Amino acid sequence: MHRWTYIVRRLILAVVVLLSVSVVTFFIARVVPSDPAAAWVGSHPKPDQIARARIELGLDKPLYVQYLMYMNKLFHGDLGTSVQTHHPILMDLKTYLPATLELVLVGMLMAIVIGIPLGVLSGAKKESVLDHVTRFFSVAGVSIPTFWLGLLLQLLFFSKLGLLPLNGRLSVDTTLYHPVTQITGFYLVDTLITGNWFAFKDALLHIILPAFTLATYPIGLTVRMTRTSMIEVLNQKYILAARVAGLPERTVLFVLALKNAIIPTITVLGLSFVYSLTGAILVEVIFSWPGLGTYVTNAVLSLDFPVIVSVTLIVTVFYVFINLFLDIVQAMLDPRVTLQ
Amino acid sequence: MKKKWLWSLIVGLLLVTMLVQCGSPAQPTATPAPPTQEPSAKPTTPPTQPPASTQAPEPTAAARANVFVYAHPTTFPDLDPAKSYSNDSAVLSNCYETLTFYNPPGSKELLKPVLATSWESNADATEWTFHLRKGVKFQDGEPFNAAAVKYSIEKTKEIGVGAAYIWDPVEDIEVVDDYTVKFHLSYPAPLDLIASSGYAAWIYSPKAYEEHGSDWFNEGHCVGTGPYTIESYDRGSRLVMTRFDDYWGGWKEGQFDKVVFEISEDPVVLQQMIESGTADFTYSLPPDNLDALDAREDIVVYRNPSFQNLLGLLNTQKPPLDNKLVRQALSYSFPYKQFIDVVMKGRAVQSHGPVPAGMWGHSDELFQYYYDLDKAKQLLAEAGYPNGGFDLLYTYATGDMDEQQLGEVWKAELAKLGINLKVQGMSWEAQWELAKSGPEKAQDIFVMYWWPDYISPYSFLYSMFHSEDEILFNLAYYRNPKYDELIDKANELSGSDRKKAEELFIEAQKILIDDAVALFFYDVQNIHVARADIKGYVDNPAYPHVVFAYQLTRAR
Repeated sequence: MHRWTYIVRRLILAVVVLLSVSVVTFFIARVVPSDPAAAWVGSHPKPDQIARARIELGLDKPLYVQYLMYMNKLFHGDLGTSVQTHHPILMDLKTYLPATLELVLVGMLMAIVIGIPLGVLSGAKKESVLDHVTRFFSVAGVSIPTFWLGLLLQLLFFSKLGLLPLNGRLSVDTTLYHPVTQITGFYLVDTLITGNWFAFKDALLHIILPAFTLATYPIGLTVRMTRTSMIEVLNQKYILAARVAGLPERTVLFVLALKNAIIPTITVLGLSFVYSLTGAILVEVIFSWPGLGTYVTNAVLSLDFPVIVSVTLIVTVFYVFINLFLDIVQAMLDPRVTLQ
Repeated sequence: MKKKWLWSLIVGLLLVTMLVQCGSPAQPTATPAPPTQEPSAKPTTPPTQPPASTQAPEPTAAARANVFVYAHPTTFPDLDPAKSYSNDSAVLSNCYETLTFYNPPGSKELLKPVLATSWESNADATEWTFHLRKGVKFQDGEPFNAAAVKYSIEKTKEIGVGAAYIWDPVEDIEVVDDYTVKFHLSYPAPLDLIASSGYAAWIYSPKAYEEHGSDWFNEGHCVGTGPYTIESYDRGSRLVMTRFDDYWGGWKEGQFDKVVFEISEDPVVLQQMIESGTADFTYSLPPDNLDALDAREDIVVYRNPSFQNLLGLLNTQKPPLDNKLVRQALSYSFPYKQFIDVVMKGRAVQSHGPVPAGMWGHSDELFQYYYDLDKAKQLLAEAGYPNGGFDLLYTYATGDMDEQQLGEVWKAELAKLGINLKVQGMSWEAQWELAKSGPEKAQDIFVMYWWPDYISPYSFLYSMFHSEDEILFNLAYYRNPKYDELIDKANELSGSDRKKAEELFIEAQKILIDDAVALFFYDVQNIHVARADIKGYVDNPAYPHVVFAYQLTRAR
């Protein structure tokens, strides 16, 4: 029973957060000196054009009416129309959101596959050479600016070694001769479903560098988090008992100890997923990745407020729901959480 | 021993990379999935074979020979031909055509016939008749005729965004017969020039526009009469155009089958693309790297005049700049030559008045202010400010390095005259809002770029300097009835007597220069970078950054 009231309480809170974010972003976007009507019309607007656009866009109405109109549309699944490009934002998001999610998910996968084992080993062999090297790289990982690392990786893997492509999601040849059929918008998935191996390989090659660049921060964080909690867990008596019982070290570390040590790491991973959604902005510009980052950068530069508000809302939705999900998972694992 | 872990990890990662790189040779036979969006025109393009080589992601020269790749520094905001007023013209100009075409500077004639073969107007340029080209088809198979012209222009006018206002003088469009269309204007205007505009003047298939509507075009479709049509579009990433086989101009050996636009907003990436040959054409590279690129044999850097210039509009309503002598003093205080040489590194040339070089209505004879602090001092003394002693607010659009550096350099010079220049970066919107709030509250100096919609000096001379009741772009707040009369008269004549019109436009510019209404800093140079084997490229400032791929070939 406790558990359910806890979850319901959290859900209500999530709705409140979303509503407040929508209010705040909406009003900030409108308070900033800008003239959406002039932007709608184009770069050299005429006064009568602007006047017409103002009525068309509903900008002649009071601010709170505009907000209500906006929310009303939002609840009907209409995110509005971009002021700069005149297209429905939903249409743009259909291509931009999957591109970013694909990038972020692959990045998170890298964080898990690289970060957790390294953290476990470095925690198990404290003060060893491996530990020092890992700690060095994990500190570097959380502190290196992504734009610098991205450029460096491009220079190394594209210009010098010629191993990986420079930018984009696919090479020209793939688009021309092995076009990807869009189903989910995740190219790795779409190409697998349709058995388009040429494009799959190409998409995989293209995602390595940007995903790795994006993953450096989560990798560093995962390593450090896993290491710390491993050290803590390994000092406990049941580990000693397992070792005395003669269980293989591999089982002790990766099964017995990791099971208890991973909970904080999961929380951190969840948060860095959302961090990556916004962190992707820089990475996407460097790697010409057609995702939310590229989209919102252009929107901010041209003060395209319907787009800014929509993207902010989407990131907030992810943030709120991932947090909620993590809270629920924690509550499942440790019922004491619900008592607070 | 312990290090082994790390090393095997690194080596493992590298191995995975290389494995993926090599791939399995058996797979690529998998038939290409059909493109998601079929262009409305049945593409009977030459059978596209999978590239012969299966290993490298790098396209081989042979596979790419017939593909032109344009690495484009911006996305394409709006591909709707009725609304587009932005960088989309790079794509749209390869798909749609206009009735007339503005020839590149240096051509004998100002205009070239495209969809109209000839045109004439009545004596006062209020009635224009265009005779249309026969045997032209839209890419959806619909015939091109007078009804299509009437529809396109009326639709664009009706939607009314972007540059649609260029058609303001048009009151009525009359379809005389299938291949003759007559425009009735409410006031005299150079409709032949208007019809050549790079924005809002495209003729598109009425059937396609009625059936599909605006969003369909933005999903990556186009239906014009031009040589290429959109084949596929990955929003924000890549747009592929393919030949329209029934193009009225016909096709010759060696012309490109496909045109690919690769979107990347990072100048460094653009440069790597052109250096590695993955792209054939680009612009907006880091200016400092241009000389090194130019030195390479496989790359050509094109430097051409653009129709864009940078001006510093002086607040003519607020003291001390309401005094003509002070404005003239400011005009003498800027080191034009040094700035262009040192900071702009040849990316600009000093302006002769507000109409950029290469455009009709421009004159090299017009007076150019030059850097002379003694003269400036003398003028200031005459105006009653022998030691300066006042502040000026200079606003520029944040993010524009050139405008910012210009402000810094000028500040140092003005300090020598005892004038304190406050250099203030603002978002364009905020800068414009402040300027529109009225001359008393506004900035003293507003720097901005201007470029024309259709190619007429009137666009510059009217928008920035004609008296305005509601402030829009006359941010010098200039009011001069004599000047207004001159340019209005010139504009009226520009349809019927272009020579006379040009004289009047130049006379009007003399007034502006003598009044020192603005500092005419420089005309921007267009810089484009191409692979050396691309032949036939001619820059046309009337259509900025447009590459007419139909004119290009690749040298073997």
